Amino acid sequence: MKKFVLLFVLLLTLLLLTSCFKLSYAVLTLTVNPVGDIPAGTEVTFSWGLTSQDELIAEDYTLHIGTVEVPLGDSTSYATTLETGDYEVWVTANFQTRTGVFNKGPASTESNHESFRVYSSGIDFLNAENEYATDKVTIEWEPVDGLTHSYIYSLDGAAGVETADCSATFSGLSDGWHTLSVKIAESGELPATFDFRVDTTGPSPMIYGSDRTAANLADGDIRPFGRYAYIGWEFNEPVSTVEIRFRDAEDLSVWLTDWIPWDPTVSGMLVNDELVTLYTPDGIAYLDHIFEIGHSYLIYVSGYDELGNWGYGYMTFRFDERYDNSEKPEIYYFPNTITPASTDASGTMEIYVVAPNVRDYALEDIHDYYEPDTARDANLMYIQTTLSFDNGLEVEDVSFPDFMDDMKDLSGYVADEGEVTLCRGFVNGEDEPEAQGDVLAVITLKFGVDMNGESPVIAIDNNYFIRDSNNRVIDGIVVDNFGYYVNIPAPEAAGM
Amino acid sequence: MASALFAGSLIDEATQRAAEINSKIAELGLPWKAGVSEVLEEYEAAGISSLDSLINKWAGTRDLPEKARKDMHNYFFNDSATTRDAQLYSTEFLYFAMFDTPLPSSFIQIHTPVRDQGFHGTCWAFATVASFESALQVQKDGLTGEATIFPWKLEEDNYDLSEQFVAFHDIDWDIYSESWYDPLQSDAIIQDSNMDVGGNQHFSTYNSIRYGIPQESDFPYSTFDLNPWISWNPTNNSWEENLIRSTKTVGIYYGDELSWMNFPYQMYINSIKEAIIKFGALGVSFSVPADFNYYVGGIYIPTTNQLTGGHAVTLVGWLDMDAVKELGWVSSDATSVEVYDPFTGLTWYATEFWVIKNSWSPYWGWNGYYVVPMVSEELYDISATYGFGITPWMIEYRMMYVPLFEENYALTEDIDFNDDGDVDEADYQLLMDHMFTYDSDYDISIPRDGYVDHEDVTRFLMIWNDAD
Repeated sequence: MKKFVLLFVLLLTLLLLTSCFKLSYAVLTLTVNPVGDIPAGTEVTFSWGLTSQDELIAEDYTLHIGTVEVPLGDSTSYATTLETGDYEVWVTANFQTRTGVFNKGPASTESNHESFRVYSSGIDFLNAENEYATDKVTIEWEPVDGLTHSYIYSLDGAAGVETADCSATFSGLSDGWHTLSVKIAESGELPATFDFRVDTTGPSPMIYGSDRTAANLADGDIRPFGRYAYIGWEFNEPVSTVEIRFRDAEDLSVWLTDWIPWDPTVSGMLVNDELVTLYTPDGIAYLDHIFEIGHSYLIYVSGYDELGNWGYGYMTFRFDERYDNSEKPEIYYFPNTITPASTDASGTMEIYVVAPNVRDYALEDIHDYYEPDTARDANLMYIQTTLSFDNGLEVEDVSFPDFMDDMKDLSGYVADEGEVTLCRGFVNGEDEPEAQGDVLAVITLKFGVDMNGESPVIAIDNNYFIRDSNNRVIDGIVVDNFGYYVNIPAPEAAGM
Repeated sequence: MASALFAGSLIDEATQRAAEINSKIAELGLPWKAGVSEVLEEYEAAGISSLDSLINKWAGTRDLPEKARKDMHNYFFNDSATTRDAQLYSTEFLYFAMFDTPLPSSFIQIHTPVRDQGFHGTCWAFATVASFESALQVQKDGLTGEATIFPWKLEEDNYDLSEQFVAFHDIDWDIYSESWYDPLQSDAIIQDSNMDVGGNQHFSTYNSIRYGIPQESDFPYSTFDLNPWISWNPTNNSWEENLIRSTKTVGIYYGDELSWMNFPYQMYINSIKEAIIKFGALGVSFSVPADFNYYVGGIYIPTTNQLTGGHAVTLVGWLDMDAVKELGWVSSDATSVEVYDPFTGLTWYATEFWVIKNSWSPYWGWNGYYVVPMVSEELYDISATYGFGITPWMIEYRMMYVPLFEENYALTEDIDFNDDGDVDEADYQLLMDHMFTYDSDYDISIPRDGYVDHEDVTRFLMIWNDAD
């Protein structure tokens, strides 16, 4: 028995030494191309080789990509594209070799393990807005692939800064547009960019208005040739809120108004020394007689831009006319006395039509200082106006107080339904003994009981004629053509 | 007229455009020619190189807003006006034919020579002054025109008034426009501005009354200063002493609206002709078709419906078919001239033609003038029936104006209405009793219009003062 065992061992040793009973031995080497972290979408080629001092006669490979096994038979390479992520890859092989006449194996072996990352270069910026009313801005981002990266960013083309954070904060930014470029540090792709605007400055209005530009009649501010001015403005950026305000330019301590909310869609207004229309966000309002002719004022126009920055501008303006407010030639009416109707008698309403300063306006040579106005008038010769009134009223009487000393009055009227036309002529001849006054006419209207408590509208018509003794128009007289409600009290209220 | 012109960008461009228009004229068989006027040499020498900017300046009349036109209608044809420039309206006197004047078949009224507005949008000032000067010749000097086929034969250079001054007194269009829509303004506001932005004779004729017009030598026209405003440039301190003022403005109402209101055609046409004969050349206006600037002769009919702006000119007279035949513009056997209107697509036939003095120098057009078809009765009736037909390129589409100088009309009307030998309050009261009636006994206004109103009352007062 001992001899048998010894003979077996000697035989085995002889076989091993003659390589006819050696175990198969080979080295399996894996290479990955490209090397290193791989951008998503790039084809990855895995190549391997099995080297042995013996002749390989059979090989069967399996590629391991993480937990995924890819049997590949005797192929020695495999190309694919991979999703983003971290990978460990190796190859296993089952093989057989031959030495001389003796086959060895089958045996198996495993290659080196290779680790790499497939990544995406995409970056998503997380800031919800790109406009800031501050000079300190933080911009955040995240990688599309969700992996941990380091980044290189650059603001407005400055040198790149590397960071492991997914944000960058900038201070002291100037107003205007900026561009932040961010890339994954290892990426060879172009960086993603984020454009944002910094605006810390409020809107600025350019204010302009009616003006004379020649003959030294204007000095850059709003100086219209008359008592009206159109003032307009344009902001240098969109505004969400607008306000205006008026100030006395000759006494800066005096503000005529507080800030008045203004409809931002309306970019101008008509100002004058009487009623000024205000276009507010809540509707139309008005200023009543706050400006005087011959006085300088300031208009301030302010606005908030869409980021909440506030800015304003101002401009002086001044009305000029051939008269100041105290000398303004006007024609208007007012109700003097109103007696309600009773069952026994008609009610009456006494209307005074007055024309202050009209007579003197034509007579006085008040235009000398006011070049280039060359309107020269002769004496006042004729005034014709029409008073119109609602149904329910009718003319009972019209009287004409003396209006011009040293001239003879030729006065008359024409009454029709709903109106009475006053015709006052002033001609050469004997003056009436009465002293002159500013009342053009006293109109007595009568009405019935059905008008008690009512508010009929009465107005001086737009059809009026004012002529001098050469039959030329006397220009510049202000006639109030508005219709006004005139309240007729009920008898109880009138103490009847 | 064609001329040998030196090469330049302005001339080159105009030459090319004129050639295109002549091709269109030939295609349509129209009786006018396009060319490049010698006046463009002057503009090119002054440094103007953009033809479009020149055309823009030449067309310097701005239309009144539609609301103004509607309210003017209300003013004249209802009892009340709704606008605040009521004082302006109070000086306008609508004239309707009295059929008291012989009307020749062709007639050119006396007028002053063709002027040149240069590189400013001041056509409206030139039309105002041209009409003003002709009105002085007719009303003050007693001159009159005659039947002739050449309008320049009736040029009389005895008045030269200042278009610069008239143009200086343009209105502030921002204030005017804004006041139309301001709910707190019961009237449109008229206020001066001297910006060179175009104007309208509605205002300049009013200014002729309140401001007057000085001499050209006292306020010379600045043709090529390229400023965006009109300068104040009196040459002497006593310029005001030579101001001439009109008294009121005679107006011929919009032809298309008159047709809609069923005013007869002959009433409308005779209103224009009578006004020319009685008062002088009329200031008129029209929208300018894009080919108009190239007119060099003939009867102008647009080949295009593209417009380049509004323009004011002076209507000096009219021609009949015999006259245009004599000028060689139509064949000797023609009985009318076919007018195809590219704006409406209508074709109508004209037998009379307006002669118009332009303000682009005597080297433009037909020695500074041009001729257009007069609206026919057929077209007028189409307008009356269907509400369209008279189109913006026609002068009948807008108001026409001529100033009236009342001091030249002797105060001779009899105002002793009760024939008691005295003129006193009783006569005035009779006049009051007949206000707003058509009683011709009390129609003493200048001009007479068959209606008794403020014009008759003021005439009464003037006669009273004159007799005193």
